[in-house]
Amino acid sequence: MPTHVERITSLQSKTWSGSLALEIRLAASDCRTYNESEPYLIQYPRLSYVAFLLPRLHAFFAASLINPEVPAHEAWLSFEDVPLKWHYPLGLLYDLLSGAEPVDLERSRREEQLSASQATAGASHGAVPIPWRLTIHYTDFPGDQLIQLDGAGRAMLDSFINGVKEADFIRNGSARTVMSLSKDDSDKLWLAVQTHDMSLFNTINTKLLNPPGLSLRHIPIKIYLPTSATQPSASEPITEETSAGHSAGHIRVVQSLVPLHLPSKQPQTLGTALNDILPTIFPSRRNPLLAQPVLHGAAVPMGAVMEDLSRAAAYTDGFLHVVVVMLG
Amino acid sequence: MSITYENFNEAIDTLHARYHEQRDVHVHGDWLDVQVMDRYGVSLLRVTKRLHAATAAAATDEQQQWTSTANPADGDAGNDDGDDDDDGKEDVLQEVDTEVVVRAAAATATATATATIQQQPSVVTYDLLHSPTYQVPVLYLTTQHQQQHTSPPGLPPPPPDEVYRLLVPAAHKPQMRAVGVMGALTLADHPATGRPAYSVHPCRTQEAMRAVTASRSSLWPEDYLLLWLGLVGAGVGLHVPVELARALSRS
Repeated sequence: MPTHVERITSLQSKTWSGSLALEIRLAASDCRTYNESEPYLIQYPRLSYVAFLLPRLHAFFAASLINPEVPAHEAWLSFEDVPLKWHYPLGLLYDLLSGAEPVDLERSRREEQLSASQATAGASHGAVPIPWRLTIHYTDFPGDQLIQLDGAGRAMLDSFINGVKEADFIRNGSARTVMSLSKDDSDKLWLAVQTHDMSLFNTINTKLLNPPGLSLRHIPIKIYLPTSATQPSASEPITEETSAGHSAGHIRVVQSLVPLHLPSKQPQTLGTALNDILPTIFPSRRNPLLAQPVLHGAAVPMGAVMEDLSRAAAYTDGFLHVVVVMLG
Repeated sequence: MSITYENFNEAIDTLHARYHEQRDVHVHGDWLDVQVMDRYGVSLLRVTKRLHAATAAAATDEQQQWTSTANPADGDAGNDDGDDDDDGKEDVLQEVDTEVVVRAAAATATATATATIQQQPSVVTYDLLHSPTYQVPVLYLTTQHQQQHTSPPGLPPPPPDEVYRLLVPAAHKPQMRAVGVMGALTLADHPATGRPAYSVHPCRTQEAMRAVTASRSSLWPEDYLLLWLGLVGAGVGLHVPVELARALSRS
């Protein structure tokens, strides 16, 4: 019988091994040939960032580019005309935009006695996932919607570090722990993210999760609400903001300080947290009546304990990036 | 020292009310409009501020990618923005400096490559929101072009150096640039619009506010906001008009 710690470690392993099949095509307007160029195919980790692919993509598509002089970092990716934000991990982008049906862990468990970890790995029920089809562009960078990258990878590093600092602040009430990491340790952390190395990542991350003299106060979580979903209390968008690029609808990012425990001293669960933060969308603490919380492609059970979920399934910046998918 | 979401809302509602009570006083000043908005469940205070023709022209001379057209000269060129010089003397944090340079280089390349018609922005929008993580106000700013037809869609925000020049006239010399812990501008997603906007990172605000409010155990929300505006807003050209500050303060 595995211990609690062993189960969390095993789940974390499954989270890190989660990946998605990507099929990336060059935008017709950037392509020299009339026929579509060959697509770039890759199985890429959910936890990673697509920006790391840009040098490889540039090398792959160079022969087909109308203007091969455009630097690799000036490219941008889109899914059905929606530009992909660089600082969102791939798994978050997919959960938000792909429209893929999340795996329902509760139903799986009841129906097939599968453990949660197997469903999280994504290889379930014999279904063959279709690759996520993306487009890469080398012109017409949408500067009003996307922050452009630089050739040195600095923009990616800065946004990652800001995320890690914020997660640290949320956990402990100060970002002291992150700020006091040695240069060597911060370099290792970033290297671990770039090379998707879980063991290296854990050697540094464990320092962030177990700061001496500080106790864990809140769980870092960001909740993503696509607003094409019906929200009874949504206020009207300001008309100045609506423009051509927003056909996917606006995505509202909700953050709130989620304590480890309830006032009753019971551990905080995903259900109690969602019910507290978004009561109209999650009126029940136990049952997803109107919407499901999706993480790494799976609808997470409402009873999941937040502290455990955070240790097992957080992204590399320390956050749980949870997408709300409306039911029915 | 932090401020709760409720108190933040109270403070911005009060500022909004006072501004509009004094509307006649402000009509020829820099603050063109103040709105309180609830945008997808996030409340914010939006201050629309005029940029001076003189400032805009000075910035143009130094930036090749911003083509000078006839300047909209309805601004008060002689207006004094001199009270921001006390913020400019701190040394730039090493990491901020490099970051700004790298971003400037990247953004410059984009602006040159994608801009067709360039018009000096004549208006800047400051959005004040509440940070749920840091429990302090956060500032996001965007420069805008008043004449819609000259603003091509898809324009990125201007490079950081350009933004400083537009906002803080006395800071066009790099060493005078209003940086330091409070003035560091970084590009981030605006929490309400999801679009890139310049922001003053809130992580140091709490510490700085604590230092500034050390002698006071509690503050009225409006006074907290005024202090915060003095600390954070001033470094990026957002100065509260005197009459408004007087009307807002409770102490």
